[in-house]
Amino acid sequence: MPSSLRTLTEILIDARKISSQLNHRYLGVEHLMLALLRTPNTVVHTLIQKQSVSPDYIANLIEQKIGVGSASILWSGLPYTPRTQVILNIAHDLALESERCYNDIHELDLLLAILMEKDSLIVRILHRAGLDTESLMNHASV
Amino acid sequence: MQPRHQHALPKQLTIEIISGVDDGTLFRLELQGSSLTATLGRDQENDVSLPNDACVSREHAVLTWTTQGWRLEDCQSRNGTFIEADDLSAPDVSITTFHPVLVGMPFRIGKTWIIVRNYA
Repeated sequence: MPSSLRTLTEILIDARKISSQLNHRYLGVEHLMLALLRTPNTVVHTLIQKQSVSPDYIANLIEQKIGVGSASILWSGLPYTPRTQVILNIAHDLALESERCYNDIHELDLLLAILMEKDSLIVRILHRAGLDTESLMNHASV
Repeated sequence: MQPRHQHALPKQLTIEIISGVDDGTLFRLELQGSSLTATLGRDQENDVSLPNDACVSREHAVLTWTTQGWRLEDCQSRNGTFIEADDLSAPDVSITTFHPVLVGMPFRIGKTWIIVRNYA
């Protein structure tokens, strides 16, 4: 397993790029998850591969489900969705529980927070793709 | 005689957005009268208004309560109304007439995935 964990800042930068590439003009859970899945040799990548599921396979499923956005520009910037804001708050709380500060939120905090929001489309896709999300949460919280 | 599977008339309906720019938004609707419907579309007049999804038509789809439960109907929208295919990797299935909708079953209008969270 890789020794260093990606920081939230690094993941957010990737997520914004992914959102722009998909013409979405917002930052959703789907972009956060794609940012976790599309970077090889990360801790999250390794955890998912241990369940014999390809991160690329899941990323492709997510991209197929959310599709590409329209060219219409309805607002400026890339606002967070309501659920993204909830997930970032949960990740922040998880870091605080481990006596880490905002700057030390990392990929496992984010993965845990995404999995804890069970009603999202992303968690539904992970289940249907055959991932055991409870096991994933247990490994991510160690 | 009552139909065999008739449900009690619901008074409330909760709809949740589970993807897209409004992901995480809940719509709690109070239902009145005998014609129990919930309209979905981009116009503000809809019960579930999605002004931020440019792929949603002004009057896109409607949920109607029947003796068999909720059913979803497309209102001749520009981009269609979809449900998930049985095969996860297969394209979403377009609704041509109407389709029964169960609690927790995702359907899509425009780029927005939606579920009926509950009703009572």
